[in-house]
Amino acid sequence: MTPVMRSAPPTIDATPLDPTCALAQRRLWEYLDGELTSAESLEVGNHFDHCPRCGPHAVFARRLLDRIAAIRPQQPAVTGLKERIARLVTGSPQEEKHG
Amino acid sequence: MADSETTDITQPDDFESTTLPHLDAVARFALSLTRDRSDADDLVQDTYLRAFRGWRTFRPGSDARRWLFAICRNAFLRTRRRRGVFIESDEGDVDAMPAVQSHLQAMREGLGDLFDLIDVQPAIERAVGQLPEPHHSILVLVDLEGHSYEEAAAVLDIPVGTVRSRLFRARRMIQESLIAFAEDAGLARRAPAGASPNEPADTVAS
Repeated sequence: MTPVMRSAPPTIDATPLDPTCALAQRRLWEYLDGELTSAESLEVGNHFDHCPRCGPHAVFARRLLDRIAAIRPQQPAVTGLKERIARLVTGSPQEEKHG
Repeated sequence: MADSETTDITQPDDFESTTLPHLDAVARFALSLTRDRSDADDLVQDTYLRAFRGWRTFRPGSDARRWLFAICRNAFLRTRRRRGVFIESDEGDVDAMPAVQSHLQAMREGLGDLFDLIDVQPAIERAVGQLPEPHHSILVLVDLEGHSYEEAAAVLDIPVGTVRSRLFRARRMIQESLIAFAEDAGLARRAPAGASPNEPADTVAS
C-alpha cells in the first residue's frame, strides 16, 4: 500500500555550507533590517536571490518580520491623555525631584 | 546622563512644546509594551511626569523622542518588576544562523511554508507578548516602531551589539513559538523511517 502524504519530503542539500552561503545566512537579519552597507546588502541580496539553498530562509524570515510588524497597534487616541498631561505639568511643583 | 549639564529650559511651555509633539509616538510605544490600553495610558502619564521632573537633565537640541522612549521603557520595566513579571534574560544570538537552523528543522517537518498553512497572526501576537525582557522591548523598538539598531541602542542605553544579539534571539523565540504552534495544530510531518543519511536531519547538526 502506498502511504498517503500531503507532499513529498523537502529536498534539502546536506552538503556542508560553502562560505558564501554561511556568510549570507549569518547576515540574514541585518540584511532584512537594512543594517548592511549598500555593497554588503547587494552582495547578500544577490546571493539570496539566486541560491536555492539560502533563498527559502530569506523568504521565510522576511514574511516573519512582516507578520511581526503587522501587530503594531493602531495609533491610540491621546486627546484625553494630552489634557491630563498638560494638567500634570502645569499642576506639578517644578522643584519636585525623583530618585 | 549622570554628568549631563543642567539647562535653563525649565519652563512648562518649553517642556510642552518639546515633548507633546511626541505624545502619539510615546502612546503607541507604551501600548506596544503593555498590550493593554489602560496600562498604556498609565504608562504614558508616568512617562511624562518623570520627564517633567527630570526636565532639567534634557539637553536642548537632543532627540526628545528618544529621551521620552527611554523614560517610558524604564518606567515600564519598573512596573513589571513591581508586579513580579520581569524575567531578566541576557541570552542572545550572535547572528541569524540559529534562526536559519530552526527554519531548516521546520522545513524538515514540512513546515517551511507555515505562513501558507495556517493563520499565524494570533500565535505571533501571543509569542511577542510572552517574550521576556529585555528581548520584548528591543523587538518592539526595532520591529514595531522601526528604529535602527543604533537608535534602539540609544533608547535602551546598551551597545549596538547587545541590541543585535537580543533582537535576533527574540525573533528566533517567536519563530520557534510559531513552529511549535504549527506542530500542535498537527501540521508537522515526520521524516520517513529509514531516511538516508542525506535526509535533512543531518543538515541541522551544528
